[in-house]
Amino acid sequence: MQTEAHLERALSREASFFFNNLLLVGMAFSVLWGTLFPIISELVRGTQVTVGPPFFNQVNIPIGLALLALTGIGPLIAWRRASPQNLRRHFLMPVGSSLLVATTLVMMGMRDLYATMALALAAFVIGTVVQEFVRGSGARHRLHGENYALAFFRLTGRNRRRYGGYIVHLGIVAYFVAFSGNAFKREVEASLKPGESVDLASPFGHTYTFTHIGVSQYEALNRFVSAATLEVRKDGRISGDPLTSEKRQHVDSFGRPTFEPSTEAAIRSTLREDLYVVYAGSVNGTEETVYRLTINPLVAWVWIGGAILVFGGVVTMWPGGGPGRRVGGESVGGYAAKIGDETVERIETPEPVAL
Amino acid sequence: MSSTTRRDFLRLGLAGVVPVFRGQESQDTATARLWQPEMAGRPQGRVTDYQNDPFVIGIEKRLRCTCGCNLDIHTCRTTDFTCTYSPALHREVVAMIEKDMSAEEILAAFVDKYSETALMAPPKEGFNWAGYLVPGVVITMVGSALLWILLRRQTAVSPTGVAAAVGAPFGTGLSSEDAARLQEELGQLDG
Repeated sequence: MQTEAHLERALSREASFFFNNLLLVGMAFSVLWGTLFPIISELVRGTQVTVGPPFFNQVNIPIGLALLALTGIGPLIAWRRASPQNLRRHFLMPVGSSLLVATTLVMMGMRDLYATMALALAAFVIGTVVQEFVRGSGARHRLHGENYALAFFRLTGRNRRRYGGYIVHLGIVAYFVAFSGNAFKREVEASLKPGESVDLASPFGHTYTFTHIGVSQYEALNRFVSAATLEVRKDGRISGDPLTSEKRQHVDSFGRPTFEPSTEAAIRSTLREDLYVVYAGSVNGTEETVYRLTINPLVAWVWIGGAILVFGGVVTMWPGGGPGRRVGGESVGGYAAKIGDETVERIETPEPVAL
Repeated sequence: MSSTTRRDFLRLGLAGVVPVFRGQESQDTATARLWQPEMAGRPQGRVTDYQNDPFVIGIEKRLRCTCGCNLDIHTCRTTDFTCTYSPALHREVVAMIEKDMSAEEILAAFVDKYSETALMAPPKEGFNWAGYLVPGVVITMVGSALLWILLRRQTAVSPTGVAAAVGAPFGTGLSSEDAARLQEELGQLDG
């Protein structure tokens, strides 16, 4: 049952996977600990405490950032053992891009430590992945004379587990970029009469002006709708169609209200930011309306990250091909050097060392 | 064109079928009443400056709403428009601010009134430090132990690895078994 592979070095790709898993387990433990802490506190002190989002953010964000860093570090360290020379060579570009992004963000006025670190580490991981693809494609181009596009597709197609994994890394990066956007969220509450406006500055430098148009009420299937509509201007220019948020009071067959009314937010989503308009209610039963307006930066990247992650997962799990295939009807494993992609079938290893 | 004469129009208007003058009054949209106000959710008050004040919001985000939603006061009052607790708690916070109380004094007053569960995170004192530090300490200790084991194994099992790590020629640290395997692989490549 003993595996052929051994963890030999603290500075090796296997070790980085190992520590990656340690952080994931640690993160799960911190959630368990936070969940149980009110009970433990009551047991020890006789006083219950609340453990809410601020606690989990304080404990888990640093672990999450360490995990992101290891996502970038792992592919840069050689299997089994790493030498100072290959570390220098592999880390130069990703670390450079990370420092460049961090410096640029700080010079642009970003002061949120965790968000800056998340974006800098995102640049580091992207640098790692791009470097891996560029080096692999370049090697194919030199060895086989393929053009770069073909080399890129064949590289990925013939090493799906490895390069699909890198695509998954990009999906994770997109998630972290989206999470960091929360640090720049803008929101305002306003009560507006028809024709009145409120401004909200975007973290990207432009200003939205929301002008209340009015409230309309109408009956729809199984519900009664109150719809509040706002005109949106971006830096003084009309931006798209008006946004309408609704209160939906569901009714029974006799037209009597059932439960409390639900609120339907109006959402305008772009790659940079989402606008949320929420109709909170009316003042004294008039068209004077209380709105809650929010700019949520980078939310779309949560969805994009998910799509990238799924795509990377499909590439990784796609059957056939890759160095993990059976050779001579027998499943094999272990380590070996890989020289050129045409040798894939002969290599008895779950993962190639390098091209 | 229309067959209605001026006299007919006047008569209809007076009869109230066409509410010419009354209609003018109801067109004052700034204060127009909704058709069915009770269907538009819970009535709201006008937004005050305190509701957008970062200082107030900062305090509210550290205090738990008592309605049972497990959200902080600010999140609850701005997302659950049916909650009656969070607007009342907001008014309590504002009343304390108007008495020139500091943020810490307000938090302490809430703890006195509602117990320590009023805070969204336990205060960093006494036993509560365990809540914040245990996950980090456990991860660090386990990580250090694993690192120590790896470093020991590194020196015990593969002393030649040190030479490889500092740039010795490739193959210096190979065992005879690995070297034979490598030769076999290379032979297959050449073939």
